[in-house]
Amino acid sequence: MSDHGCIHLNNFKAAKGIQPYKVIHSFFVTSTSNEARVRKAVSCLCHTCKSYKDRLHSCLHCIFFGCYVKGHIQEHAKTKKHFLAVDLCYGNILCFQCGDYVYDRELLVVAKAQWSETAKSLSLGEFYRTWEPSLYEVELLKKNPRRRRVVENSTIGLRGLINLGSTCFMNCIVQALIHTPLLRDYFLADRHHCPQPNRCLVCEVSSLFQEFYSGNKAPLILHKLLHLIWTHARHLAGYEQQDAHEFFIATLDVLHRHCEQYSQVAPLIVKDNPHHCNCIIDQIFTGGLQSDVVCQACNGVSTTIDPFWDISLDLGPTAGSGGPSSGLSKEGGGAPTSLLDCLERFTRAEHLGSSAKIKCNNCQTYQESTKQLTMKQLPIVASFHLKRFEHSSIQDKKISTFISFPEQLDMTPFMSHRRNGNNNSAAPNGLHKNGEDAAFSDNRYSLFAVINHEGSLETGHYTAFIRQQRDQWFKCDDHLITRARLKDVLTSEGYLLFYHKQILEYGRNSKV
Amino acid sequence: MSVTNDKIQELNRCFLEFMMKPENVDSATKEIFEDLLDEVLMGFIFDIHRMTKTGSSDVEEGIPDDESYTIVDLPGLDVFGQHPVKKSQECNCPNCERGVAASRFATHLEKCMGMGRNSSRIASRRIANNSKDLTSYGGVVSDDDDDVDWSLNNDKRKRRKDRNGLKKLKQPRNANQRNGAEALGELAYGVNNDTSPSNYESMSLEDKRTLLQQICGVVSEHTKKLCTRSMRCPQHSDDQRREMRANLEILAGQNNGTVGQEVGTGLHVDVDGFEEADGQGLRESLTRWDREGSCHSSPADSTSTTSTSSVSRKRETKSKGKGKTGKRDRSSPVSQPD
Repeated sequence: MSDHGCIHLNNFKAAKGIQPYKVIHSFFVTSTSNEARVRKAVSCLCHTCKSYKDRLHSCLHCIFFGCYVKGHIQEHAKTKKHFLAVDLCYGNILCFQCGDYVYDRELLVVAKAQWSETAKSLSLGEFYRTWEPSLYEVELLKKNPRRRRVVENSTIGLRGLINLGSTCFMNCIVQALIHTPLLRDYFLADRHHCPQPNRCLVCEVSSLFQEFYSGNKAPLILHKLLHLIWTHARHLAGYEQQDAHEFFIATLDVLHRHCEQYSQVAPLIVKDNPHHCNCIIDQIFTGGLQSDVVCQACNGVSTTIDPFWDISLDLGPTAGSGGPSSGLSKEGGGAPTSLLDCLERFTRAEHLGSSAKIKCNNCQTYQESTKQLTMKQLPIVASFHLKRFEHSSIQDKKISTFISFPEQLDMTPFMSHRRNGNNNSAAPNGLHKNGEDAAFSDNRYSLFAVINHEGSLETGHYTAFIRQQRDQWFKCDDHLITRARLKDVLTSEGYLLFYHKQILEYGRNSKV
Repeated sequence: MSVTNDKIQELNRCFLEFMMKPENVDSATKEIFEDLLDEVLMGFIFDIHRMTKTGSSDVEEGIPDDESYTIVDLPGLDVFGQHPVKKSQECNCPNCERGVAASRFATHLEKCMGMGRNSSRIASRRIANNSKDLTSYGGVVSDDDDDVDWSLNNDKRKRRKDRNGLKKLKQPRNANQRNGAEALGELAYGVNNDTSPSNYESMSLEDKRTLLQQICGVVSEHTKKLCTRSMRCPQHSDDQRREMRANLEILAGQNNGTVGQEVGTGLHVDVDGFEEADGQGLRESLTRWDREGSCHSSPADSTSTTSTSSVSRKRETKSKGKGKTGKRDRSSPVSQPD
């Protein structure tokens, strides 16, 4: 085993360095620039048979391209005694003296950097690469040869949580977070390093992941977590606090703050959006909500984009919002019956009425206007909060109507470019300025956690359904974990719904 | 560059010409597809080849875990195959480091961190006193009388050999129980040496005597406060006044005046020296005293001890006027099932 190439490659590197490889790789393998792409298109032909395919290789010693299938690169190696060649598809090095492809760590690093450069020059997300252990990780893996695999029908990753006295709201949120696929990958990959592990909630969550995947079957006690959250989110501290949604948002907030605070690397603030940092919480949970206010007099649009962690959806019948119902809302009242209904209503243009005139930036007068919310940027985890608890001056009540929600959800209809297309808005046909091809992006989501509230407003109990391994569902009722069927999940009442994006675009997220 | 540009144009021209014929389009589509497929396959092969060659696949493979973690799907059992019985579990409070029953932890923590309805007062007092030991005691003990969320065996505090401290602390037990409780109560007020009647309990014996020469001083049954009217106040009889003063002198005699002086100054008491057993005994006596509902609190008792261990006991004593029952109610939070 070796990632130090071979003796022949090492001799070559000693004599000529890595520059020849760098040049060939950047032009004819990855094509890191426009010029390189033109060159590759024009000159990547077998110098013997003019074929453009059949596994072209480039000689590392001189300028020669030859195909492997018809043996032209071998021929060149033999006659010229140039025994090293680069495969032009993946950039691997073929050593004819060893008769095999050889891998050199130094060159692999060069290659990796150039692939990223290419992706950037094509304004694509980072190319997907399978994980490879670093030298340090290889050492660790050798020292600890035992492997625990999360196979189907395994309880690894499941753990009951002890109720600490009306803390089911916390238990449910923890179950949902622990079963968020990307968050799990982050923490199990040991990505959080922290100088102050005792005060940091991210560290506590990190150790929770260790506990969940430890194979221990006894229920966990989350006393430290509760203490940390109450310490850092004083507003919800206290025994009486019991709303899972509030707790969820507060937890994200504390995690986000601790990521920033305790991270050794200064957080990268993305220019356009000051609220959007690159901490793991923001990468996973933050989306951008676009609000378009259209002046009814001049049709001038003023657009703002705000970050969001979750979307709270009204369940009550649409009250005639003040003014005369605008022609924009097609359907009148009626309570929504499905998540899609709710989202449709959420992103519908709303007439602000004569009592709420807004000064239009365009015509500088106070005018009636319409307001529309749409999804500018979708988060990787879309969290929906069904507003089942209605607090009004008259009475507080719980809305228990059934709202159906799908296992698979496509968010495309609620995207800014789509919704505004139906409207009289600025950008027609979803054409985007920054070359972002929103039309091609995949916005499909799948359900992975549902939190339910059973009981009345005063006394109730929270339970969670969580998904493990694509399609295995479990019910988490504090310390009790039992198997559940998808049907049970989809027919449950639903209070908080968590959806995970199906297709991830790597390196894309930091870009708003 | 112009050479390459020419070549590109040439390529484009050839391409368009070639694509004019429908049969060419078909074969080109097929060929491109096959090319792409070959390339993708090569990618996989290279990945495997590299992993094998660099040895990382062996390293990753490792030795599989031999334990079985198969999900159990039987009625009455959870996925781990366990009977879902609630065992009483314990955890250590990260705030005060005491052992607490897990099912009551949230209730405890709320008070311990000073966030409940009443606990902010406890907490602020604790902060004011800034004593680590007080965190574990002062705040919480007084707040619920049925002290089940404390597990006594978890107490790690070691016994100090400070004889003096011990002696002082034990005193309330030797005195009659009522006195003991009252004595504990007064301590919180030991801090300020104000000579107003409201601060009566924290005063030194001398100050009390002086004060009682000026006012009636009988403790009201309703407000539990000293009567501040003149010596000839019509509400109380001379007998009552006499009894009250006699009590003060009796107690002064008991304590020999020595400890009494410390009340004003010696706030700092070593709780480390305060044994758990003492605490238990104290608490028992406190509750008993509470139940008896004695309401002629005798402020004279107050000079007897300097134990800080029940700083907030004071609150209970003081609030008794408002109703004993009220206190009892709020001090027994029942853990709800959810």
